[in-house]
Amino acid sequence: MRKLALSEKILNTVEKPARYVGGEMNAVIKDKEAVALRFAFCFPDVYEIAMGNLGLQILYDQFNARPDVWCERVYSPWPDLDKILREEQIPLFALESQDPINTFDFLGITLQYEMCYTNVLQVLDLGRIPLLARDRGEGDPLVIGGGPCTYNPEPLADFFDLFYIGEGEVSYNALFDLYIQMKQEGAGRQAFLQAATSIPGIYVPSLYEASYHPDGTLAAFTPLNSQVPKKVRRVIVKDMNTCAYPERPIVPYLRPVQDRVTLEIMRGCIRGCRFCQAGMVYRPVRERDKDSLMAIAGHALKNSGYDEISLSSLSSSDHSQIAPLVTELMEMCSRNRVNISLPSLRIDAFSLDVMSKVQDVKKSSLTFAPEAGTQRLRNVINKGLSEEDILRGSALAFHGGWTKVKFYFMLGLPTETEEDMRGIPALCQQVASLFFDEIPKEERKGKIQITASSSFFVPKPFTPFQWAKMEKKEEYLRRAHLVKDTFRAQPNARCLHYEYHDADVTVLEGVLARGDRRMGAVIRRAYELGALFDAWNEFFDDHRWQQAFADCQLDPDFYTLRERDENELFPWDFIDIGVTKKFLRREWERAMEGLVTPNCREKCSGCGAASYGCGICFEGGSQSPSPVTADAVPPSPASGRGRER
Amino acid sequence: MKIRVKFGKEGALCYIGHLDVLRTFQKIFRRAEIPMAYSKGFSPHPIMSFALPLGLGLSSEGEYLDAELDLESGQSSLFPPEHSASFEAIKGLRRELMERLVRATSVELPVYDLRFLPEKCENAMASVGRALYGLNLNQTWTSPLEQAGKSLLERESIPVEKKTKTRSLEMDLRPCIYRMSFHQNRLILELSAGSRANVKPEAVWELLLWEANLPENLSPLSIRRLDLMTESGLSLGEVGEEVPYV
Ligand code: SF4
Ligand code: SF4
Repeated sequence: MRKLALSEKILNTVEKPARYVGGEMNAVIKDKEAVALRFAFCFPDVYEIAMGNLGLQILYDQFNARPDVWCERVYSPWPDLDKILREEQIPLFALESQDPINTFDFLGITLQYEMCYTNVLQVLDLGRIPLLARDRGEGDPLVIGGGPCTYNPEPLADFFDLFYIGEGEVSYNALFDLYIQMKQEGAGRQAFLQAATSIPGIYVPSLYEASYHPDGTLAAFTPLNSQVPKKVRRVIVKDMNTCAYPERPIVPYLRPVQDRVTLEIMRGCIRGCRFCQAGMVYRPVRERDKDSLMAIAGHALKNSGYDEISLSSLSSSDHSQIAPLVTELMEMCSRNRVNISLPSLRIDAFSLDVMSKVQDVKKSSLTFAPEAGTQRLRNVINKGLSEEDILRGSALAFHGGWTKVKFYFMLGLPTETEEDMRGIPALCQQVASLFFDEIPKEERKGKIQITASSSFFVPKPFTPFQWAKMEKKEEYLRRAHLVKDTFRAQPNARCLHYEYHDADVTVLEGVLARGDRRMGAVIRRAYELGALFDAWNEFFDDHRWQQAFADCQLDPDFYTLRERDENELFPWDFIDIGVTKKFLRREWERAMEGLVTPNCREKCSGCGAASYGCGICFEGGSQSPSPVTADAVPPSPASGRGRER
Repeated sequence: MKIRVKFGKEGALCYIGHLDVLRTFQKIFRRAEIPMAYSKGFSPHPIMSFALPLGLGLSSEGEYLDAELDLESGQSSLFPPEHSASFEAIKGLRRELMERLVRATSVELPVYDLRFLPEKCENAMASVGRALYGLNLNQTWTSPLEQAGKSLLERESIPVEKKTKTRSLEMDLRPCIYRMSFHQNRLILELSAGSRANVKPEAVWELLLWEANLPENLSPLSIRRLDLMTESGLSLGEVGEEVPYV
């Protein structure tokens, strides 16, 4: 039996000790003496959240497929264990071997949301790894960051030795080969970091220098020597069908947030909503084809024993084989008593038919994400979901027996007016009225319940809205209250429920999302002041962060309340995601004019992602002879609306 | 067709709660491609139940799980034996089921044995009446505890207070202790268990400490459940037969 790092006494004291013992089905145990490289993969949040992450499962599988590498997992200890580890001076350990993480070669941390940044410091701190990369020496692990937040890694630059920009499948093998080779040759840490910059997608923050203008904006961002590339290009998988998939997912004992097989059907999104980072940074759309998906699904279900499978993608309805895929999958699943969950399907006759077969209509709800309350604002954000789509979908669903509808909106989008805010309750009211008009009293199977929830818009790097300004917390609350009051005044207010997200968190997210290297000191200070598990409402305390900003003499408003100049150099501009800054700017301008841009399947807009030479840019459907050059010729304003529909 | 599976809990599994182990077994049966029978109703679930939950932190080599299989559905390569099936054929089925389970589980959740239950057999949960525990002790306490044990067993009754959510009851622990014996550093306890009277080994341990005048924060080095038995002392693993089908 494995020896556990925590004593029986500690395990019997903490809440959910299963979080710390490992040993799950399909977890990989190797002989540590027989591997050349040990990798601790960290998701800096609690076990149940972390184990739901698909990226982790993919890389765990891929890394462990190499006989010379052993990849293990480590997560944030919950505050109860955090306290015990500090008091009893127990170093943070990986789940599989239960060995302290500071004995590993690499600590890889996936950065899924900004509010986990203080947890990154917790893991380093409890792991007894110096917080600052520059304080680390030869014996310390190399700390490498990956995941969505690396599209602006700068706020975390002080804490990481390397960042991996792009999809994990591509460059880790080369990085591991290089490391193993240089380790055998006895090369030092610095030499390795310098050499690693030659691997596509690898960014070594300590080899770049940032300088600032007197007004605080970035003046220059330069490599320290000529061997270091000026730009780091995101790496992507070109062909999803040949890329490995975890057919033996780890099956946790504790129920994770995703207690099912996750089937990633494609990467990227054709739609280009202007607020959406995922829609830009994962371009171009690349699909897995139906037959390979069916094979993957079969194996993953068999090897895990899960009784549920979920399709995963940014917008599943846009998969070109979605109907046959779902049909085949349903056949296979009903034979084996497996449930299917189908998030992110557009509401139409097909999806309603499918949903009525796989879930309890009375209990499930329809979901729409119009994001904005009026068509004008939906054009600004390029959200191609019209009022008509919503009403048509709802009517179909009401006739099919559904009575619950959920709406997702954002407040604080660029150009938002009070009319747009009032549009939110108005739209919900329209749907409620539709129910009463469409469904005669005697046929109503339940009370109609409409839930609208709004978050506040946070401008993200690499989106057309990266230039946008945010609002002050008070202004966000004013808007939310206005919406709330308008909801109360609707004729069917009884059936309408409205909730909005926390405004404090939004402002902080905004600062961290578009922050620069100077933010490192603030994050560290906030951690010292006790900030931890900031993504959890019960732990988040804005005062700590306000104090941290004050202590570091940085003004959060500088990052949020400023509309950026067209030519401002952004901290993330050294990353080349394929999509060009020129395209993003053009989209910003079109947004200001209220012009809609077609999606990739309707027509290529020459965003630049075709330079990867794969995916939708080269499918027949998008009528783009040569999208790379198309970017050089922006559509003239004269070509206007006519071309777009 | 009903089966009873005997299994153990080691290492990490000692910290996995009852419901999570149940969900894990459902997955093990699926991985093993042994079709389970499902309950009727709107959200059918596999028919499977444990004899008795085990406290968090305890290891075990004597846990039981009853499950109902659905070999008739033809969804697997397993088939129910014909009415006239030979002894050998039924034995073969049992071997196959065992092999599949062993392959689908992990070392920390070992599967030891599998039996077919007669149709009308009481399920494990209802038939459990006693549980056998082994407690590993620190050498220095063994002799005072042994003394204390002796004097406890000599009493006719051992009144203790038992707190429930709403009130506290007085109950007699003496008839609930079937066995208390010391073997070097090991204390074996056979206690009432199940729905009639469920006595945890920790409760007897506390009593022993008190009787021996030892500090109440001492705890045994480890507690392991060794087996579960019926009221009359028959191991749940001996209920039913290896090959009783038809
Ligand atoms: S549909 Fe829009 S919001 Fe959704 S992923 Fe695609 S671009 Fe983003
Ligand atoms: S190059 Fe064209 S088709 Fe390719 S992702 Fe960009 S807009 Fe879409």
